[in-house]
Amino acid sequence: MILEWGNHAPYILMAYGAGAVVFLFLLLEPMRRRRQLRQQLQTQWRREQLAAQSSAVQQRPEVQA
Amino acid sequence: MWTFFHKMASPKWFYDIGGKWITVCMSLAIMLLVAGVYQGLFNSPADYQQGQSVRIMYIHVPAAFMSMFAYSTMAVAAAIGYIWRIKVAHMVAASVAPIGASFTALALFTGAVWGKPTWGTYWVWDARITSELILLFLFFGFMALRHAFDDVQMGDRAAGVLAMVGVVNLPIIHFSVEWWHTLHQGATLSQFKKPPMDPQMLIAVLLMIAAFKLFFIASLFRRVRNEIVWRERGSQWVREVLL
Repeated sequence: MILEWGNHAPYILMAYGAGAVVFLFLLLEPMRRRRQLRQQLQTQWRREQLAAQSSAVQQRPEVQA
Repeated sequence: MWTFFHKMASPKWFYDIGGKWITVCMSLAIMLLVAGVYQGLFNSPADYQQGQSVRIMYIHVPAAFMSMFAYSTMAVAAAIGYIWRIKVAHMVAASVAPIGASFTALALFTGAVWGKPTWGTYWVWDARITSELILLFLFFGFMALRHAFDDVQMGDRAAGVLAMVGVVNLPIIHFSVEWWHTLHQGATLSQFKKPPMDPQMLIAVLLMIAAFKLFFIASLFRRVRNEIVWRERGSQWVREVLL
């Protein structure tokens, strides 16, 4: 079938190839961003949690005293 | 009706509803895309003047159509965010921009690739191509302006103004083939007239337009959900969703 396209084949394939690249980008980029967001926020929340725990431990002896 | 709009303004509601629609829209888009590509490449006839290169139309026309549709969506969302100060609307506008820019770049690229075998050149500075290039710069400008401010809300509002002003480019793109002499042909698809093309070609174009539109909706929901997670990261419900 591609042979029937003659000397127009490279142009047709280039156009559909570019379409495939754009679709893949639009499909995969938000997934990558989602993974990145999840990791970033989980690290941030864990850090906040640890900071809150350590400040609670530091305050406890003062309360007992 | 108003209840629906009030609900849409809630990031959590939009996040949930987006999650439900992504799978439906993406599945339909992929099915239509496969059918459209098959129809366009193997089942539709060659053009009597342009020959086989007419098959590029099935990518070029939907991409160009979606570039304008995406810009309209972005401008309407920006206007809603600007007037009623709705956060979700700004998030939608911000999420549309990269999708719109991708479709515009695709329309310009496929147009250039189609131009070479048809007109003998990749590029001419005619009104349609130049105004479409301006549309690409408007998308880039919107994204750049939004990130130029440390304050997110300020960036949203500034970029929103650009999006609203840039709407003036849309009728120029659409009517450029009527207002100026150009190598481009006039509009083939019209709401009021029977399209002057082979039914097999028409099926391919319509399948691809439907596929592009559904893909756009699914991509938009994906990106808006990411934007909501980022901007609402202080909320308890976002923690519950991600942990």
